[in-house]
Amino acid sequence: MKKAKITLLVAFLGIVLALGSSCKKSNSTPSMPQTLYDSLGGTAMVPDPAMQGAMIEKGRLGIRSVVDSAIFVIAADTNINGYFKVLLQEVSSGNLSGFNALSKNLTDFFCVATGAKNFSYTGKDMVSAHNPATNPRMNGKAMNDDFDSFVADVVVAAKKNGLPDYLIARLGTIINSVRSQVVQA
Amino acid sequence: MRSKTVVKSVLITTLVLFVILVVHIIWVTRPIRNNAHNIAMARIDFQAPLNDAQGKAITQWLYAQKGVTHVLCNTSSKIAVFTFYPSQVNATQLASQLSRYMQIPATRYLPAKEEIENGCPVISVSTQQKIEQLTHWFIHSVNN
Repeated sequence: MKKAKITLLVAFLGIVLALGSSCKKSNSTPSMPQTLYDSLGGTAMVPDPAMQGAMIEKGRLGIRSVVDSAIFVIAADTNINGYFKVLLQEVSSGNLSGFNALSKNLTDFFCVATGAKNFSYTGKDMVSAHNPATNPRMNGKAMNDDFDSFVADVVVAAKKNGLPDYLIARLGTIINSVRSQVVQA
Repeated sequence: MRSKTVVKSVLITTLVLFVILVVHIIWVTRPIRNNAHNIAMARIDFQAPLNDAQGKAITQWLYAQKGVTHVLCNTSSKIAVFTFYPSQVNATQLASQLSRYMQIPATRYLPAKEEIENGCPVISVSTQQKIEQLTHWFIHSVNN
């Protein structure tokens, strides 16, 4: 009789523990993987070093720093700088310079691609932007080698900005995801 | 009575035109604050091979110039690129001064209008973006 009581108690405790652990599991929210944008600082606001008195999201600042460095590397890279001659256009009549326009456009694009929520890319989609038939500014179809040079230049820029290798790898994956849209030759 | 009205209209028109002229003069002669929106980029092509020491010297010399904000010298492509404020420095003059300082033939690369027009696919913008840029430019012009 006593043995049966103990068995019953153990069985009851086992059920309680099992239910408790299963409830715990169902209540816990699955951890969302952090976006690359979040890894770079996300939406935390920090002073913008390029604009006195202005604030900028830390994630965007990180992206813009890499983009700006990449623009320098690309401008001095004879493999692909032919595509980016507009960079060397000077400011005139209140127009934004080619440098600033390219920096903003690429930063917007990478912000959205890396998971930013507060920005939007309003330029052409990657296929249309790189198709000479739909974009007269594209003076020829981009080759795989051109794209490789672009990726290499961005990696150089990311390293210059002290990005750790695992974040560079994630950035590389994002860039490579549009390779088939950019390379149309 | 009619001549009075004509004189009055002429006076008002002249006054309005004068005010517009004054506003225009103030607008075009206002001091431009240097920021990310009026920065420009220039490229200097060297016509001789560069070694690492020369690359460093070029970078240091450019950084020492007023109005130059960032420099990168690629010795393998014999190209130096830098950003600068056009209101503070003339990049073409800087290129010839640098050429003299380094004693290496060098010229500033300036793309032709046609090259700019079919240069960069990323710059090709949508109408929405053009409106955004115009609004952005207007707000910054007013702030400055």
